[in-house]
This record gives sequence, C-alpha cells and structure tokens, in this order.
Amino acid sequence: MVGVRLEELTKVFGKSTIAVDNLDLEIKDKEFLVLLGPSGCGKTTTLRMIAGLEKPTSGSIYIGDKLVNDVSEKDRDVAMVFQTFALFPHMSAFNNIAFPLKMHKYRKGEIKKQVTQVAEMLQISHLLNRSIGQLSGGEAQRVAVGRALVTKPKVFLLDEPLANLDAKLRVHTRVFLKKLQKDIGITTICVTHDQAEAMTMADRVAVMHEGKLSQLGTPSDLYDHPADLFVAGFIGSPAMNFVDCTLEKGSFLVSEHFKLEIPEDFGKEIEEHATTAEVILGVRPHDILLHEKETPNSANVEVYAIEPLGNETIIDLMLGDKIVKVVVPPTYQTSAGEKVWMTFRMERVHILDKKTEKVIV
Amino acid sequence: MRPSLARALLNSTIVTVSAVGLMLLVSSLTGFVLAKYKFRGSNVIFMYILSTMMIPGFVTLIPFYLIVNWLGWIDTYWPLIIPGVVSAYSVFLFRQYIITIPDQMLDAARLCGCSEFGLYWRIILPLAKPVVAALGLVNAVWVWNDLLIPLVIIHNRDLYTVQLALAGLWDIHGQLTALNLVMACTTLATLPLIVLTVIVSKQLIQGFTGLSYAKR
Repeated sequence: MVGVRLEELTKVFGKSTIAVDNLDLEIKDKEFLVLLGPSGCGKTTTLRMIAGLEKPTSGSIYIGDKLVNDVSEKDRDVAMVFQTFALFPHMSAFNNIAFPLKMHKYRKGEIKKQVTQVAEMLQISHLLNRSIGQLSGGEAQRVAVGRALVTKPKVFLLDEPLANLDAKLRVHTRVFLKKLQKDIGITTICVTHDQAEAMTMADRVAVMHEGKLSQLGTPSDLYDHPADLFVAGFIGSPAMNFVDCTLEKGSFLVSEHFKLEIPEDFGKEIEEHATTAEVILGVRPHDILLHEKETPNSANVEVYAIEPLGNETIIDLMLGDKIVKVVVPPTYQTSAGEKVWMTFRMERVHILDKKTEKVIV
Repeated sequence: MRPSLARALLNSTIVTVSAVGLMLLVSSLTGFVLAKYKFRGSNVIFMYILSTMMIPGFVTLIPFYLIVNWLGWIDTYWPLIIPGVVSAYSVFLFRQYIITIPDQMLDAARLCGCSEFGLYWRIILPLAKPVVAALGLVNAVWVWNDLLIPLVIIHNRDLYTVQLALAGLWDIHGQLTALNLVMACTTLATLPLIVLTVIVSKQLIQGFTGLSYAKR
C-alpha cells in the first residue's frame, strides 16, 4: 500500500476556467481522506486527475514515490467507484466484478476465485447471477465496490459514493465503507459535498473552495478550529451563525443589536491579530443559551420559527433582520413571536477578521 | 431464359448481409467517435455528414454509374454494397443514441484496463443493440428491395438480385404471362425479411420507441 502526493496541482478548463488551483495535498498510506466542498469547488476534478481520467494543466501527482502524470489510467493501479456506480447493465453482477480481471487477462479459474472472494467480503455472493437491473441501490453499490476492489488496487477512489442512495441506506453504507477501508487498509480518497458524510467517514478532511484547499484536518479540528469563514460556515449542521461586530476599547463587541463585554485577554488577542476593529462573531447553534428574562451580556431577540427534530429543536431567532439559529433540548417550550434573551458560551465563540475572513481567535 | 430464383435469393442474401453488416460497423464506429471523443472539427464533420442527407439519391445516379464504370465495377456486387456502407442517417442515429450512454461507464471501463476499441466492442455496441436492430432491419429491407441500382449495374443474369429476377418475370411486352408464378416468387422473396423482423422484433420496439440509453 502507498500514499498519494499532489504538488502544485492545477487544472484549467478552456482558457480561463480554473477548476483546481495550485493544490498541495498529501494523503498518507492507509488513510481515509475526504475531499469536501460545494459543487464546482474542484474536488471531483482532483479525484479524476488522480485516477488519470483528466490531465493536469500543471503540477505533479505521485502515487507512492512514482510520478504518474504521464502514466495511463490503466497502469496507475487505482480503482474508482462512481456516483452513478457506472455498472455495465448488459452484464450480470458476476461479469461486472470479473470485468477488470478479464481485461488483465486472468485465467478463468482465477477469475472465479477472486470474484467469489470479493463477493463474500462484501456479502453479495447471492447476487452474483443477477442482472444489474435487478439490484437495489445498495446492492448495486456493493457490486461497484467489488468491481473496484477485485484487482487489489493501491489507491481506492470514491466519487460521491452515497449520493444515489436513500437517506437510511446512506447512514448504513457510510459505516460499511469506513469499516471496509479499515479492514483492507487501503489508501482511500473520497469526494463528497455532504459534511456529515465527510465527518463520519474521514480520518482527515480536506475542505476545498473555488479550486483551493481551504483547510486540512481531522473532523474535530475542522469543527472546533475552522481556519476561515468558508470552513466555519460549511462544517456543522445547522451552520454557524455570523454577526458583524466592532471591537470597542478592547473589551466590548458591539453589533447593531447588542453590546457584549468580553474578557480582557480575549480582547487583547483579537486586537493583536485583527487587521481592523471590524470583526465577525461566529457562534454555533449549540453554543447559544436562551433565557426568559434579561441577563448580563445578553441580546434581546424574537422567536421567528420552531423546527422540532425529535431529539432536539432548532429555534430561529430574529436578531434585527438577521436569523440566528439555536439548538435547544426538545423540552424547551416557546412560541413564535415571543421575546427571549440569548447569551453565548464565550469560550466556544470564534472571532473572524472581516477583511481577510480568517479566524483569528 | 428466366433467371433462377434460388440463385437470385442467394445473391440478394450476399449483398444484403455484407451491405448491412458493413454499414452497422462503420456507422456505429463513426457514431461512437463523434459522440464520445472531443476533437477539433468533430462538429464540422458531423454537420458535413448530415448535410449529405439533403442530396436526393436519384440526382447522383449518373455520376454514380460513371464512377462505378471507371472503377470497373459494372457487373459486380461492389456497387450494391459499398455506397450504402456510409450512411448519414445511421451515423446520426448511432451518435444520438451513444451520446446518452453515461461517460462514467466508459471511464469505469477504462480504469478496469479496457482499451479504446474495447470500449466500443464490449460496452457501446452491446448497449446500442436496439439501434443495431432498428437500423439493421430498415437497411436490410432497403437493400433487399432495391431495384434501381441493380437494374443499372447488373447485366449478368447469374448476378441478378431477387428484385431483378422478379422484374424478369414480366415478358418483353410488359405482360404478366404467369401470374401464379409471380405471386409465388414474390411471396418467397418477402419471406426472409419477415423472418428477420420476427427475430429482431423485441430490440426493434426498444429501438423505435425510446432512442436513448436508459438503465435497463
């Protein structure tokens, strides 16, 4: 098994559409790395360049220590599962899994042995004689995984592997994929736009935005210590709330609707790192507390909507003309239009520089 | 002397099988390339092929005869087979169908180690079966029933196609002397096409009802 290294990787489509911009990334041996980002951020293009299906405009791709820029996709020893599974509908499940072995001219007996082995591992032995049209989404996906893994590739690539599955199956499959990856110990790169998928499956997540790497880290790193406004807003559900503030006298955060007193050392830290006094206060919905009466350091808000989820409730509050989302226990009682006061868990808030959009504290 | 119907049936079979077989191979390959490979001028080539559909066949009959004569192909099967091999309509239909087959499927096959010709042979062609059936049948009927080109080109009675042989049943005054014979021979001449239609009927319906690839 081997790692994958991308150095200054760039892909430009046409004359000026930059899909991937100077990407440096190292994926360790046996690691499960997720490329996360919104549509059009360049994550699938990156994956396709690693697979050899797209040629980089510039930069280098190493698989192990070998530079593979000019190696054809057949000889890279990588396998890929596509979003649509891309199974061959005119072949049975067995023949789909056997396809790469046939292309590599394995003997008949060997093909049967390998396919049976991989089918047992994926628990699809009973499906081998079925045609692709007779498989459910989850079964088709396992066949696609089987086809990818049967040649024992060095690198395993997954392009939005869960996007075509229903919600329940998605939760089941992400556990399955993660366990499978750990059991075989194969270097895996997975592309997704769904942060829940990324957080649950990945050893490390690379967040991409507009072709660039925004942040690379473990899921908890990204959640607790986002690097910039994009990552802070992208990771976490419901998303982080942002309020524009001004730092006054080093000890007050002042917005249109509230004035927060902050600890002196906190204020100093902000002053040290911020380029101007204009900052953005970022606070996760779980880190806001609601009070029925006014308390020190609180902001007056009006309940706008209530979204009960069963295990918790999301409350949308109007702060001026902005909506702030708060997560509260399901037992919390309130109704739309009610006035409440909110305070922030100050040890959990993030301060971002408004100009650079970087997290400073 | 009347031409032998058995010989004419054999001649027509040779001509139809070769013409349709070659037409399917050339059109599907061209359609595949135009649908799945991006290269400079691919659209121009496609438009050029399509534009040839605007020229009526009868207009080209005299130049066609001159070229065949120049090639020394009078009284051979070649003029009955070769011109039909490049069919703009078939290329168009193959291209439109193949363009709907997802690129991801081809990428998946490439990653499995499949060659570019392998993509055509193992993936595209089996998936394009409905088009193969539909075009195969339509062209087979066309070639089998063609009277004009064989009439212009073929003079040797041993090379008569079935339509020429049927036409030969009329006597020199344009009178039908043996109507029973004409009826029997015409029925026999139609049988192969009926059998072919029955064989490909399932694929044919798919080919005519939904000319796009869909998960089956």
